Amino acid sequence: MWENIFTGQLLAIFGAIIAFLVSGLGSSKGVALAGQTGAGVLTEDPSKFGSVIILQALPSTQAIYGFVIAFLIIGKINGAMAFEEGFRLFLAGLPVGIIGFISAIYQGRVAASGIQLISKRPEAIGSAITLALMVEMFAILSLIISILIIG
Amino acid sequence: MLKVNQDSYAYATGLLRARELKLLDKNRIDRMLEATKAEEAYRVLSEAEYGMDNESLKSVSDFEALLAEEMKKTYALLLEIGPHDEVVEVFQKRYDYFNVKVLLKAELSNQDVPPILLDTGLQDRDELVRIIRERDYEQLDQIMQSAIVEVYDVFSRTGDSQVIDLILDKALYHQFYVELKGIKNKFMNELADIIVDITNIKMFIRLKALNKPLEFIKKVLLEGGLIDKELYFNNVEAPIDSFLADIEFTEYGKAIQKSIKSLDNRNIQTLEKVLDDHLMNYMTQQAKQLTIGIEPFIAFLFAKEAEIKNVRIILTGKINGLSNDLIRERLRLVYV
Repeated sequence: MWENIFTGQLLAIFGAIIAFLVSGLGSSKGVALAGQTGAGVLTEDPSKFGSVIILQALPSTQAIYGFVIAFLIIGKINGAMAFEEGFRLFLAGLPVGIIGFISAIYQGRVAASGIQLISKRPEAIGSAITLALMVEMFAILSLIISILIIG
Repeated sequence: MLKVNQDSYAYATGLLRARELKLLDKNRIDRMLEATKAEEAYRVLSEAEYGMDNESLKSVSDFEALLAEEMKKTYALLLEIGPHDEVVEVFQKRYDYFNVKVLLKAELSNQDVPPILLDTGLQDRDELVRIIRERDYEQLDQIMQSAIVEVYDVFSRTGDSQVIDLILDKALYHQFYVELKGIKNKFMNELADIIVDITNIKMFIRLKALNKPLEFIKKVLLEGGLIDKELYFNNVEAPIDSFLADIEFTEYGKAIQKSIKSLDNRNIQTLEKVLDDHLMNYMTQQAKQLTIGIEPFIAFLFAKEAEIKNVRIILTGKINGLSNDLIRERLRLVYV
């Protein structure tokens, strides 16, 4: 009965949706937090624009990873897909979606702290970026796992 | 009930973090202290972007007007960048109470309104003059209304103008406490208790020095706070050291007691400084460990208030030729 409702094809589409939708939500939130903080700093000191924009952009990578996985999943979809095959692609969407969501929000917070840091000490831009990149690692690992599951 | 969404303070926090650089840090305060003349100290303020462009504020003798202007600017900034006006208004209302006190004193002694009304409050100055003169209190908050009515009532029976300060100060802190507790945010609720406790301790020390009786102390101590009122009542007759020792067993004990012990010169002023510093320490601790939220927002307001207090202490000291050590002893902890 399940096979009649959730065909392999439908499940795979779900996987693609989760991969992009969930990580995209996280990135939107992360970039927005960093952006608002950045706007506050720029109101006081417009010369910091260059550094602010780099830090603000960092949490957007999670959505890009989600996009890549969604793209790979969609490329594998065909009408005659077995249930098991579709379910595997569905599961492949989860790591990059969920880890991407959480890491993007936290990375946004680290980026916002970094923006506050460079508002006081502009020379610390290197440290600010490094700190935010630490969070990036988990998104990259989830991307790799998702790719491995797709096979 | 206002619920604070911490993330909505992202813009404000970013702006204020950058603005914190312009606060008077230790370095600038030292330069003000080392200045030989009051004018020289006054000029350091222009680096902290105190608006001295105005011709009428050029001389050090106008420093009170400059500080009032600076406070007004700070509130205007916070109202502009903060997501909830109500949060700022809670603090602004304190200036309304000050104005009402001045107006009631003038009214009850049949004198003209002195030119010291502040323009920082929520109610327009001139409107407040009209409200008090015409006794048309409808626009005022309920707590303030009943306090004013009580002042007239008690004054007509006793003729004692001290009641104005007593009743309105108590109403002010009551309203402040209720409104801070009314905001759904742990930090704001804790702040309400700390402010009430610190104010109570300060008042108690002063009243003890004046040998006021227990009934009087019971009347003026503020409700709320974490310290049990019995602690004050039991110490009315006891020496001040026993009171301070009892404080050690409360929430604040360790932090306050340590700085009290390190005081060489223990008097009311230095004890008040220790209490103010404790509040500032709490603020700094809460605000610095957080990226985005209401804490850095409120901390900036307190930092600015402490800064203005320090500037007043330094400039008054310089104008009156006090020694640097004496001035330094009274300076409050700075935020940056």
